[in-house]
Amino acid sequence: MIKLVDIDKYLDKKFQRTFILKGIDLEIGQGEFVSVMGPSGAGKSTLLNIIGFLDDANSGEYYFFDEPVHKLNEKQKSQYHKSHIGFVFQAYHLIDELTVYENIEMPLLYRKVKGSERKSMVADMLDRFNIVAKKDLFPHQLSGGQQQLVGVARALIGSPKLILADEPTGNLHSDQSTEIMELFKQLNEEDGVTIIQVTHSEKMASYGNRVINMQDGMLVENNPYLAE
Amino acid sequence: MLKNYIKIALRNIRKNPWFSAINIGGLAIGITACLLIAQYVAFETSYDDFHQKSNQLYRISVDMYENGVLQTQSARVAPAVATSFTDEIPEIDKYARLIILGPDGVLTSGDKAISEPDIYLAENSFLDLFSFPLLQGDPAQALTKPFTVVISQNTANSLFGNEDPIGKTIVINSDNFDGQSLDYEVTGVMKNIPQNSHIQPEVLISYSTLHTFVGNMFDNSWTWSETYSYVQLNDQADPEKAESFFSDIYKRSNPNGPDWRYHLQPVTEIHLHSELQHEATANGNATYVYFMVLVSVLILIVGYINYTNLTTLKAEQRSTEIGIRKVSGANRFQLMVQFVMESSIINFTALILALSLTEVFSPYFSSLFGIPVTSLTGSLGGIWFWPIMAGSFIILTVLSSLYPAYVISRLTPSETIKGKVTSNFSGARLQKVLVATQFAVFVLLLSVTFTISSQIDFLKTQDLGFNSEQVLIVKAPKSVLGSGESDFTVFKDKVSSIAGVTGVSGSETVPGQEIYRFTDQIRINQTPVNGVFSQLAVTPDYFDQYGITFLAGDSFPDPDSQDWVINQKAAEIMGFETASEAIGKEVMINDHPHSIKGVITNYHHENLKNAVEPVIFSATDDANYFSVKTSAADIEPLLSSVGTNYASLFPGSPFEYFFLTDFYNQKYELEDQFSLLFRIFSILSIVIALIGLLGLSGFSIHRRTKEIGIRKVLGAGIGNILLLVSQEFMILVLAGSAVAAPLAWYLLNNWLSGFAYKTEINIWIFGISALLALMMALITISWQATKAAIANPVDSLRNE
Repeated sequence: MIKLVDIDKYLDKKFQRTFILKGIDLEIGQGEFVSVMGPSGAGKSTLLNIIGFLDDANSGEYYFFDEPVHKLNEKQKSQYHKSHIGFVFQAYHLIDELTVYENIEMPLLYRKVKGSERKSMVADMLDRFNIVAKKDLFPHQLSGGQQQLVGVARALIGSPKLILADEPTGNLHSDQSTEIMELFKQLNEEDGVTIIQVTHSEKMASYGNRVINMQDGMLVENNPYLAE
Repeated sequence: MLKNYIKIALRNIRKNPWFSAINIGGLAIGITACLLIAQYVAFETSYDDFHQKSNQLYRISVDMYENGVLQTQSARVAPAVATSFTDEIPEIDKYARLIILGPDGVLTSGDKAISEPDIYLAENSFLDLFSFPLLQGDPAQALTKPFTVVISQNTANSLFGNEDPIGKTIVINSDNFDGQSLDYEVTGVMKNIPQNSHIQPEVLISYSTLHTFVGNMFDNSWTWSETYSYVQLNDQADPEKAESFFSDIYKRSNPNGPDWRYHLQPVTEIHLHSELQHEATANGNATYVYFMVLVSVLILIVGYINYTNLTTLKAEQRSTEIGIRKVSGANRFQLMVQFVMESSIINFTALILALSLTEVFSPYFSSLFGIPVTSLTGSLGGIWFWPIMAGSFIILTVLSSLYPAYVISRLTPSETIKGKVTSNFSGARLQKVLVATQFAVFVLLLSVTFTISSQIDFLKTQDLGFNSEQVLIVKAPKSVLGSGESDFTVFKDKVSSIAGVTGVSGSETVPGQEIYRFTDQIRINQTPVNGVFSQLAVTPDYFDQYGITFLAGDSFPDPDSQDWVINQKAAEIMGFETASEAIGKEVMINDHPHSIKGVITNYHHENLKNAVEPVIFSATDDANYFSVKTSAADIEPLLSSVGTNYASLFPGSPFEYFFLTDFYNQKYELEDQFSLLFRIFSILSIVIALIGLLGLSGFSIHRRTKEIGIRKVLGAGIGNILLLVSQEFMILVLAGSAVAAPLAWYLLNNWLSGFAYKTEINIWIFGISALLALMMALITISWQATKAAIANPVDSLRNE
């Protein structure tokens, strides 16, 4: 599903090139639940952004379903992006001015889904996450865990093949974290959604079926935490 | 999708009430100001465009040269000019001549008498050339027979009330008709003259009436420059081509005539672009209209700069939202549409508010500035009003939102979601330029406002060369022929005995009025003098009463004296080295000798807008105006006793009076009005700019909350913090002032060049304006900055 070949990402300053990612070779198959681990600044989020088409690599090749992403133009990327990928963030990133219902509905608007269809899709999602009663509330009226549920619902509404989650439980209590992780696991196992999550927590990583360790912009064999 | 955009826009407006109020309020005030000014400009530029053939109508004017030097430009030409030109030039279809009866005539019907200054003699063709429709009477014939008149609706109402005026008789008494009271038959009633007409006749007497007084020979005169001569060109004619015939025709008829050059003035341009001598009414000034257009554009710019700046800054705070939308699949275009949408809602609200405000303020505005406002749509563009409004709305909305939208949508989602954008925001440089522009406008408007006020002050406080204090001017009664003594003598004898009256004199016109008689037929020792001299008849005690200084000689011995008094300017032009040299010299006018009895200083008879003209004073006891000098502290009893005496002396003549100081200063009405207009709208735009600055500094300080917190922890005092946040604005004020000063200087120079007497442009004005701008900016900023400076740093740092 995803194939990265010798991906580099760097910042050029006056006399110095700082690598954020260096020589990343990675393959992820459909249906995997991958946890990316590593210390702050290792390049985990950048890797996630590149996989999610939010950022471009400076060099290297990226194939998404065998499609060379590095050769796609903006419009094609945006097309893939809409139909295949969903994002979940650590800080939930709901739009404050929109209600729960409207936040979940938003990606459909950009996908030009018809009104009636949209209604039923959002209703399904609210139902599935047991937040029907909260549909008219605004994000600040919800607890963190509830907000993240909405965030996940929003990521799922477009029925993506891939979910990218950047520390999805980083701001949550352990109870809430468990709830979200159970949800991910269920999605992965029952719906066959590929999930890549960035996490600092061994416990969260254990919900997945593969762990990728990173340090200083490179993939490493062992968990650097354990190596220390 | 659209619904979603509108929904989030409305929620955003509601969520940030202050921000929205500043944005919408600033724009609304700006648009209101623009609409009000547009009404003023529309009115000023609408003069005489209501005539059906307005673009074919021209007035013939004359430039009088002596030895190749322009002496006088007059709006009146001799009667033969229009007829000869029309006869010989194929481009000219028709003509109409008009003579102002002036200065005043008294109209009587039965026991009703009114004094009317706007009486004209007009040829019947006048009703054909100009679209002044008759409500009653036949426009083809109304002014053909002698002793017939067409009167305005107003005049008809005041003389006849509800009766049918047609066929009724009006008695008109005027000095210019030898003071006779003569009967005229009303043959027409015309609709009241629109305010936007450069001629405002209330009564039109048939032109042929004139011939019974001056004979038909008058029409052949090439020198008696008394007629306003209008011509109608045929619809394809090139006015320049028509003009090219003028000098040949003139020279053929006047082989030895003076160097007079004729021109055509489009009737529609007279109000704003004509500043000749002997205009029918006081005209406007195109410069003022341009200035106001400039102000309205500046106000709008200031308003939209606020909008753009605040919206761009606001967008920073919304960067996360933008990131999420991008991640959710929004493309750049969709995001731009969203922001343009939001801005159109704000713009639309502002527009609606502005239209209502304009409706509310229009009546005040129109009464303050004498502009008739029927309705917003009526006075602005008619049926085009709504399309124009819609067009401007779209253009302004798109222009004002494009930049913020562009900045916002350009950010990459990975940046925006992290909220990284705030520190190195790409719009910062443009924002600085925009704020500097606002300060430039600020300084420009302030310095112009100051200078305009100081010029008007200068005009009003300048030593005029005569004493205008405590002078009551009474208009002469309608003339009564046959009694031995003149009206003036009778009046003076009676009024001088009233307690508090210290002197009574008479004159043809009083200071503040234009001297309308002039001559260029002066000879000394048979040598023609090159110069156009104004002529004014006064009673012998005129100079003494007005405190006008004699440089040599003195006033006339009696009202029948043939001697002259001249002013210093006239003495110079006549070639006398000193004032005393002129005394006793003989000067000829049209071959009649006069001896110079006295030379006075150049006093400012008309006003300070024009240079002092050479004036020849002759003696008379037949005055149009009686000047009563008083020493009374309480003017009311004096006024009533003068009035009682007047009524008993001149029954049937209305008692009309005014005070000279007021009257003289009224001559600056146009300037006063302009100054007030300019001041109001300058203050408005400054207020808008300050509101914007308030919002902007709020954001700017909010963005630096953490920095301020850290600095405080490291020991910075409140003073340091204030200085820190003010610094960047100070630089912008300086930059703005540097741009504004030369621009203001240029504009002011331009404006002042229209005055013969003017104040210097003080360089300090710019400094003071800049300082004021800086102070106001600092006060505005410090309101926000103080809040930040005294805040507990612990709160701001804990956020991270």
